[in-house]
Amino acid sequence: MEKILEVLSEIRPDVDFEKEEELIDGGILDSFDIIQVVMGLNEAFDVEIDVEDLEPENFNSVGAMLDLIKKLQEE
Amino acid sequence: MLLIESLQQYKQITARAKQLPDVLTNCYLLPSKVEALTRQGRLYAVEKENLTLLLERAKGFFRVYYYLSPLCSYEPLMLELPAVIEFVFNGALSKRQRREIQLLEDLGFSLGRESARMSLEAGAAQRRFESGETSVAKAEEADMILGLLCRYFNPLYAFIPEKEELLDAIEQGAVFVVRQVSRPEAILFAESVRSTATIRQLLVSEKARSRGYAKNLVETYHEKYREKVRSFFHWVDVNNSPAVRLYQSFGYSFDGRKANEYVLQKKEI
Repeated sequence: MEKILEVLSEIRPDVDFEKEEELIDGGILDSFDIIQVVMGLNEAFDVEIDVEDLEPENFNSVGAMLDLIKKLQEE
Repeated sequence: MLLIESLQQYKQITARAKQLPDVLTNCYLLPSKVEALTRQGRLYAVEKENLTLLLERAKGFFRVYYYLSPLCSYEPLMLELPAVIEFVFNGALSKRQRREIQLLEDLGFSLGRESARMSLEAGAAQRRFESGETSVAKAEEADMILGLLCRYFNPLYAFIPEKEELLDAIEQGAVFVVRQVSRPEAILFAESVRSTATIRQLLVSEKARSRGYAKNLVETYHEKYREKVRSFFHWVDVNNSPAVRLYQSFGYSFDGRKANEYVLQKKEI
């Protein structure tokens, strides 16, 4: 969780990621941010986030991103 | 160049593109964005043996998303419109990023603009200057505002709004102007989402410069959003020293996030 927060905070230090539950649906992260989030998470966790994973529910909160990363690491 | 007509087709193309050895990509479009672009007929693909490009057609240029391989060699591309790639990074470029940029340069892209992000905590955005004669833009000024934006900003970098988007922003009171002889001659186009506000564009026409209008506009922008957001941020051309100095006078500082825009000029096919 800490590592995800570190990645996200570098991209958008202005956002309180621990609180937010609608990062995509709420328009807090735009498409430009998403590219950076995905690239950052891919690098930090040595995973490959696929087109199929690019659904808002996987990125709306830190918890959702953590679940996604765990799923990818198990594959 | 192939027009992509559905999300399914996009997924098929990207699935093929990922097969490149050691693939490098910046293509992470949300399905909702892909669906919107395909509905509007604005998403294209260029598929070659050693690369795939997804081209988002904007007004007069393409925004490019790529799949490349560091194990392949490339020659300059030819596209029917100028093209831009945004390359965002923190601090310094990594070895992988430098290799990626080299490949883009082999394709004919060159560095167009270096931007960096500046930010300011809302609590620190205390009143420093006067708001002067700033006021909120009116809907009937939209065409004049767009005319100024197109004259002073390069559309490849500036995310110049469509008229509808500008009218929405005017309606929300997010566009501020200073008028001379009833015409906007200085403009600040702001945007706010939840806990942040950002300046999309700030310009002062040549004939209206040296009167403090830019400071007036930024002060007005802070006044409007200071109590509503946690922070302010925006991207600035690092070589635009007057702009950098202006924002620094309000307490903004660089937060380490950078973005280079690489441009491919139009070539006759």
